[in-house]
Amino acid sequence: MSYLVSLLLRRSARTVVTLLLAATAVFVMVRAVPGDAAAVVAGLDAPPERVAEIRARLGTDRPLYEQYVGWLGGLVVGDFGESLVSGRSVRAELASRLPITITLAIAAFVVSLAIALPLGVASGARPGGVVDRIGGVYSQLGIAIPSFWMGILLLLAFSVRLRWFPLFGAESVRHFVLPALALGIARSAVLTRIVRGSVTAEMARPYVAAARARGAGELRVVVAHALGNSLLPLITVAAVQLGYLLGGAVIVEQVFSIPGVGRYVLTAIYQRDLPVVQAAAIVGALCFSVASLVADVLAGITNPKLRASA
Amino acid sequence: MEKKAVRRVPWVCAGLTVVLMLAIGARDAVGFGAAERDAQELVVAISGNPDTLDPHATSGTLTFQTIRSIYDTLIEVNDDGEFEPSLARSWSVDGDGLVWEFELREDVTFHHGEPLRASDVVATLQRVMDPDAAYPKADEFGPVDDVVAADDYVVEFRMDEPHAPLLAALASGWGAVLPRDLIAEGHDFGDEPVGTGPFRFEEWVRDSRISLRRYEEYRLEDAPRLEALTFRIIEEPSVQLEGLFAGSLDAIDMVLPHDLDRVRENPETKLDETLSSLAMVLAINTSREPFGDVRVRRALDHAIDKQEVLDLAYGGGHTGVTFHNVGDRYHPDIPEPYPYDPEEAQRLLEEAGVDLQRTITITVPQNYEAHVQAAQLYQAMLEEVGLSVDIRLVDWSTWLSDVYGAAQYDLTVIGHTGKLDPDARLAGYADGSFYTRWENQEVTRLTRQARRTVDESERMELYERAFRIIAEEVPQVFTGTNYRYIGLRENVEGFRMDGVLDTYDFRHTRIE
Repeated sequence: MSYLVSLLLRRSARTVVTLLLAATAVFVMVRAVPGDAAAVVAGLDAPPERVAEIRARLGTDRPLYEQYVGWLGGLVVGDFGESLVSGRSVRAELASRLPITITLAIAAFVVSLAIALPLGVASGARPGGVVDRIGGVYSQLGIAIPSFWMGILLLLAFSVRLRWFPLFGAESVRHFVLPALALGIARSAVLTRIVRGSVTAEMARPYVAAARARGAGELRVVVAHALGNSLLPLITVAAVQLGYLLGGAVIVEQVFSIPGVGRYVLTAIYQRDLPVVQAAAIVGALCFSVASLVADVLAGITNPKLRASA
Repeated sequence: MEKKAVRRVPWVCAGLTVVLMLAIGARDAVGFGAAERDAQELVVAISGNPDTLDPHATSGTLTFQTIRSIYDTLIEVNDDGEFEPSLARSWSVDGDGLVWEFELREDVTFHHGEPLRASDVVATLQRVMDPDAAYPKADEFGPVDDVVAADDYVVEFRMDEPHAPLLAALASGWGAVLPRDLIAEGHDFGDEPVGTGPFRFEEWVRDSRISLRRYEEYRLEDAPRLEALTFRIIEEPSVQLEGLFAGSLDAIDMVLPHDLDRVRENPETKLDETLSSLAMVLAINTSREPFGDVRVRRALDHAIDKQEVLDLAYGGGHTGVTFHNVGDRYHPDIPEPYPYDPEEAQRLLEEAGVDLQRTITITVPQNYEAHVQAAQLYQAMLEEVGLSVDIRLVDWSTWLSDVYGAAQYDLTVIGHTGKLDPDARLAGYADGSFYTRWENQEVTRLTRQARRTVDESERMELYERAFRIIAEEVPQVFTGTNYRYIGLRENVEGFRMDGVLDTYDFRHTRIE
């Protein structure tokens, strides 16, 4: 148990450092890009003095180090500042949208696992078999088709043609089905390959041969012996995939008009709404870090070897 | 037995997922398109989330399109661009043009129950012009020295100098009147707007919808007709269009040029076509060579087939001659000084000794698909007369700061939003500070004089002279004004597009 505690502590410290680095990088990057929120707020035909006044009100004319220190100070207490364009608290805006994006990401995650696990195991158990070949084609396609395009195809087929699902919004479970599929299918393609590779590798090991020699049936060999061990590498990959899902949600939310974090951020980028872009990047980095932290801990629990080497 | 169960695990997982999804999908498939809503609820798709619902805090069109139904202004503008009474029953100006007097209606109440008084107007004007707040629209009202309540229902605007554009500012979205008690409390109008308009605010789910409900105490007897008005925020034009066909949307604010016929031909939908308030231009940086030479600018004007650009990129419209929207009464009725004539363009370029090998760049904001398409047409037309032309795409914010702010460009494509008063277009247009960096003292002088001239026919004459000079000097190629298309369900009646303000008037709209 003490091993787990020390693992948690070490990884948490690393997470904090990662976040600080990410915060600094984001701060610098959003300011390196040309563009000015005050000009967006003022609009065309506003006199230059007006733009300067708005800049002063927003505080974007203050020295960079002052802005940086002020922003970091806010971050520590969980204050992301206010949107330059709407004047609303960024934290409140994110808080109202995050549940929607997380719901979408988790739904997509379930979809990707539900496809990747059975398909990957079946493919890996008999490399070169019919299922493996179908799985191969499936992952090729899944990786090649971007999730937003998949989203448009699904929308055309199931919302426009068949009218089974709504075209826009996020009011009910039905609203999440197509976006979750669009996102989940793309991710499942990658996962299928990893599961397959992992199962194939385990199948070549001596203990599998030993199990066969003991007279165990093929399915028992696959499911009871090989599967458990092949899941280990999957845990880490799957957790990182969850991070990718959050990223993919940005575009898919746009396609399906879902009021999540993605659309909020996209608009903010166009409007140079710096506090919003910064906050979103930090939240994204946080999700990624936490996901990989969880993955490490899970790996630590499930893998005796890692425990010994700690 | 055990073996069989184990064998099934992965397949059961997959099967269950599929069944679950189909079940969810099929459940109320029948109800799709006609989700539970009022018979008199109008659902309108708008192409983005407004920045705020505070009429003073933004310059965003989406905000004004939404809040038009929530707030009222002192005066309104009709389809011919003439001012009409609204909250003010009547108005007058003294002989020097220094004092404007507005007499308010006495039967108006705000959505929170308070009656409208002159002091509300005073508080509103103090708010928008508050220097500490730095609201983007503070300058619109001009040299206002003081706004006072002469009595409960009379407001006086005292000006430092005559300022004819005041009426236009009061009729625009930023002229919305707010209640004084909430202003004093520092109420967040951006989040929870309270006005005297035909609909009261119910809920705003960011990036999803804005719900309004009929205001029973609205000052007009027969309006509004609708029970509820819902704005759905949908960025994708194709999703808007399919939503309209499916009946889940009653009106949509984006119909792409190639979809116009689909909306016209579908028996369940129709198209509202209004001349917009935009002046579409190919703007020229006159501070960069060779564009300082008026012959070169005229050559560009001759090289462009404006109707073609309007039809192919902007979905149709009327060609223009000067820096104003074509439909407006101030737009001068003069023939195109440099009509489409590629040979004349070539001749002028040669005469000016332009180096045709040097590449000219058209910088375009990439978020406006129509402008990007127009840029491609301009490129082809300019190459036709021998110029070599590149296109550079930039995002909106970069366009605003680099092109519009710092004039770092050769040519650019944009549409200038209409203003009720020509002064808003021409102030600063010819003093070298505008992004064309064009200077003309006569235009600047005429504009100043017109601003101080309260008599309308005199103003019109002054503006006509200014617009003529602009047409001949070509600081921008004036392509013209496009149509604004609103897709509607066939059963939607009484919808009015306020073309001059580019907003919607839903007061007399109803669903048959």
